[in-house]
Amino acid sequence: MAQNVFYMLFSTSTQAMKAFTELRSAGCRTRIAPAPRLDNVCCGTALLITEEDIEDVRATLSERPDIAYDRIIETEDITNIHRDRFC
Amino acid sequence: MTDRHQMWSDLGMDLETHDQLCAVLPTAYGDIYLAQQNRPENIAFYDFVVSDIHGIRPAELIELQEKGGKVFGTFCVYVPDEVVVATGGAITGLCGGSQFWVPEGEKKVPRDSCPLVKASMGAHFGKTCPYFSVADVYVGETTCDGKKKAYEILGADKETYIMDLPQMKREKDFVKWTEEIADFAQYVEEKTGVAITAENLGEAIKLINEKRKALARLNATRKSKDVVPISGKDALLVTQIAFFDDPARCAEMANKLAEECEQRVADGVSVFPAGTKRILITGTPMAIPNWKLHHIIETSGGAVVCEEMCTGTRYYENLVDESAETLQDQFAALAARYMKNNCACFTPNQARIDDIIRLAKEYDVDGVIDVNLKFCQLYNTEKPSVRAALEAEGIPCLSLETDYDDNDSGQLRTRVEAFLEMLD
Repeated sequence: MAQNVFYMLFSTSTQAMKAFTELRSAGCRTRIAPAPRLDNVCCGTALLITEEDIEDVRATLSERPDIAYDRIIETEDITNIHRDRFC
Repeated sequence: MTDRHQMWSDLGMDLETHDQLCAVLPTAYGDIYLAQQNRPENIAFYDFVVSDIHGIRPAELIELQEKGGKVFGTFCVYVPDEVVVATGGAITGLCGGSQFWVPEGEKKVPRDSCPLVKASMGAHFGKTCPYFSVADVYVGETTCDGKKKAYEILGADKETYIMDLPQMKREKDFVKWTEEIADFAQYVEEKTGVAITAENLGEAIKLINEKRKALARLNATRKSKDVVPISGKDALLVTQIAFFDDPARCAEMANKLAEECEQRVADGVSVFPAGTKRILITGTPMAIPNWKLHHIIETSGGAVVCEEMCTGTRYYENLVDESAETLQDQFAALAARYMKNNCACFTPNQARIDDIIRLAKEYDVDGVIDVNLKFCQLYNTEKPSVRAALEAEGIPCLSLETDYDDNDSGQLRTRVEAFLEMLD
C-alpha cells in the first residue's frame, strides 16, 4: 500500500530555506524538494517532512514569526526509482 | 509558491510550454535524487538550487544586469570564464540536457544532430529556458561541426561570438589560442565597457581557481576505496550547477560539502554498501538535467566514482598559473590551462586516453563505461582506442551510446546490470 508524504509549502524559496535551516537545527527530519505541482503550476521550493514530526515542525516555526509558510499538504508518495522517466 | 511567471514573461519566454517542463521536475527529481539514502547533509544546498532552478539564479542574473553587468552564455569548457568575471560579468553554461527541448531543436538542425545540440537549439528557439533568455550574448567555439553550424543559426537570432579553437596541440596552436583569448578579452571589454587589467584578471583567475580547487577537493573524497561518501548522481549535480552558479558561492558550498565528505570517509560513512562496484564514466558531457546513465548505474548495483568528461574532471582539473603579471602572460597562462582539456575534437588525442587510465587507477575503479551521445562521431570514433587501452591495463570497459530519450532505458539497464555482474 502506498504511503503518503507531507510537503510544507512556502510563498518564497528564501522562506523555505530559512525554515529548512531552523528545522534542521531543531532536530526535525526534513528535506528540500521541488514543490509538487498543484493547481498553481510553478517552480518552487518545498520541504518534505515526516508525519511524526509535524507537530514539532509547527511548534518550532511558531517561535519564528519571521518565517512564514503557506500550508502543509499530504499527498501520495509516488516515488519509483525504476520508473526511468527523466526530465 | 514563488510565482516566477512575471519574470519569465519579461524575458519573453513561452510560459505555457515552460510550465509543461516545470511539471516534470518534482516527480523526476523525487525518483532520481530524493529517493537516495544517506546523502550528505550539505547536499541540501543543491536540492535547493534545483527546486527553483529556473527562478533563483536567473533572478540574480537579472539583478546583475540591472546594475550594469553583462551575462555571457557559453556552451563549452574551453571558453575562459576568467575573462568575463574580470569585468564583473557573469558566465552561465547553456548546454541543453533535456529531451523536452529536442523536438523544437529538430526544427532547426538535422534530426541526426547530437541531442545536446538539438536541445540547446530547442531551448533557445522554444523560449523555454530562462538562462538562454537572460543571456546578453552567446559565446560559441569551434569544437565539433554540429556546434559550429548551430552557432550560425543561433547567431542569426542573438549576438553570438565565436572563439576559433585549434584542433591540434602544437606550439603554434597554443600561440593561436592565446591570441583568441586576447581577442575575446577585447570583445568582452567592448560589450561591458569595463577595461580588463592585469589586476582584475588576476583576481578572476584566483577566484575561478578557488572554484576548481573546491570541486577537485570534493571529488578527491570519491577516491576512497572502501567508502563512497557521496553518490555519483550528487557529485554530477554539483558539477552541473557549477556551470551557472556564482563562482564564489560555488567554491564555498563545494568546500562545505567536501569537508563533510572528508569526515564521512574518516568515519566510514558510505552511501553504498561495501563491495559496490566502482565505475568511471568517460565520454560526452552530461548537461543538466541529464542524470540518466548515473541513475541507471546507481540503481543497478553500481557506484559512479569519477566522470572523465566536460561535466567532470575536465572542468576542475588543472589550475591557471597565478604568477603572471602582465595581460599577455595571463592570456598565455589561460591558454595553457584550457588547452589541457582533452576533448575528442583534437587530433591526436592520446592525452584523453592517458587521463582515463590515470583516473581509473586514482579512483580505484572496477570498470569503465565509455558513453557518447548519439550522433557524436568524435567520441564514438575514439571508442576502440579507449577500449584497447583499457584492455591492455586489464580494466573492463562497456561502450554505450544513448540520448536524452527515456525509450532505451530498459535496454541500458540490462546492459549495465550484465556489465556489473561480469565484474564480480
